[in-house]
Amino acid sequence: MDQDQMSVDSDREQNYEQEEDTMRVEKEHEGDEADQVNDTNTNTNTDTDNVANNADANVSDLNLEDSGVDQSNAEESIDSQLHKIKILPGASSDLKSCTFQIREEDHTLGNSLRYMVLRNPNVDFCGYSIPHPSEHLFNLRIQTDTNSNINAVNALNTALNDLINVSKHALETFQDELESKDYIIEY
Amino acid sequence: MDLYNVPLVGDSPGIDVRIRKLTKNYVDFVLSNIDLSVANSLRRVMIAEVPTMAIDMVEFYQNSSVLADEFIAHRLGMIPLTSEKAKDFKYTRDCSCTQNCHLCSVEMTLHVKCTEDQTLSVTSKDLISSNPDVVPVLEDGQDKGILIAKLNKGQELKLFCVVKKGIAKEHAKWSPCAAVEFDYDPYNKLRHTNYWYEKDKQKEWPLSKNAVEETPEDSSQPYDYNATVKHTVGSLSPETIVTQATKILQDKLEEVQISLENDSKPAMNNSFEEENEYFKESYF
Repeated sequence: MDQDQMSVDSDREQNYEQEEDTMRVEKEHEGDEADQVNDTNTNTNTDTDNVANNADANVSDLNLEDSGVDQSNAEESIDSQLHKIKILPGASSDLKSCTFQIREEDHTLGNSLRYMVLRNPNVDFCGYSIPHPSEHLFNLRIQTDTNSNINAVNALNTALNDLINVSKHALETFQDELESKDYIIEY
Repeated sequence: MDLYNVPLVGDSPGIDVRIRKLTKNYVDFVLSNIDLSVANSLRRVMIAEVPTMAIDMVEFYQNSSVLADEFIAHRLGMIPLTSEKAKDFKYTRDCSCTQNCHLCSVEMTLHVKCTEDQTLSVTSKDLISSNPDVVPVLEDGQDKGILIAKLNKGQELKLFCVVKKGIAKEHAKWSPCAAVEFDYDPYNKLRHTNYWYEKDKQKEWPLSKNAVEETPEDSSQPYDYNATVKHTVGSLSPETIVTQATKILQDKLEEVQISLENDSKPAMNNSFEEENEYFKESYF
């Protein structure tokens, strides 16, 4: 099963590469034409070359998008392995208000993390949301006090540390409690 | 708000755990000085993210029983297997082998043929495992095992199973718990709910057994959660589930934290290089 799947995927990639190649050939032709037209003036010639190059870039961008959902999904899955967390566009330049996107996590982490961030007196706002139930990610928005020297990344880091310590402590107390045998045991 | 001033670990008293009862497959404990969200995270991890072993792939060589192949395969998947060693196994997707190997899977076979006049019950006891650490769960010596199918005279069932490690997020068959009860605020002091009643609220809504842990409604006092947890199916002991759940929660957090450190470096360096020495030194 898995092998079948893989071979299908690699076929798709090949197709994609072929498509890209044909696009490149077409672009080269366009470039040639532009060269011929502007042969007399070197300045304009370079300009049009640039334009042609830009056009190339645009076309190839479009091509990426057009080449189908599969390609972008494949890229996304690779991306998610590389980036567990990323800062979404729109964060303030001092990073005091940002939205973090955390992949492959849900309410388990989201809610307790939100609480831990909110414990910090320098944090003005913190909330999380799962934008769509079929996408396994959540967005965590943190805004810190503009007068403090704590930014959102620090606040998140502190909260993560706190939560790790809380669960470590919970584990230790649970194990101590288990060893104390100070409870009803029935076997 | 009082809720956000619960002391953390560094301060005293911090989160507290008190076990009330422990049996072979039941543990009942009280978590206090902790926020609802953290207790809930623990509950969610216990239900869905503690790995166990379960039958994941079945090959049929002979099935002349009245049940269809896929029906039996589904029943086999649901059989709880002893999973104390699950943490030593790799997930098949992370393993370097091409299909499956002894590092990421266990093989089981079953071969039963009915030769007598009466019907023969095929149970989980008939499964032969390649690994003595991963076998179908039996409550005690008298346990007859879990019924898989019944065979009439001349009918035969011969199959081969691959047992894999997994978590209940993917399929509930990998859940280590049968049930996790979770109760907080038995007097409804926080007004998280409205009780519907006909005549008398007190009579129609008897207090939960956890009410002894708290004093009746009077004033604001520290949070107390009665996390009355849980019934296991026997693949893991209840104390192992709790222990592993807290560890998994830590792993999840650490994963995010490492990624945060790595990924935020470029962003931080761009905007903060000159202005803020504080970050570079104390945080990264």
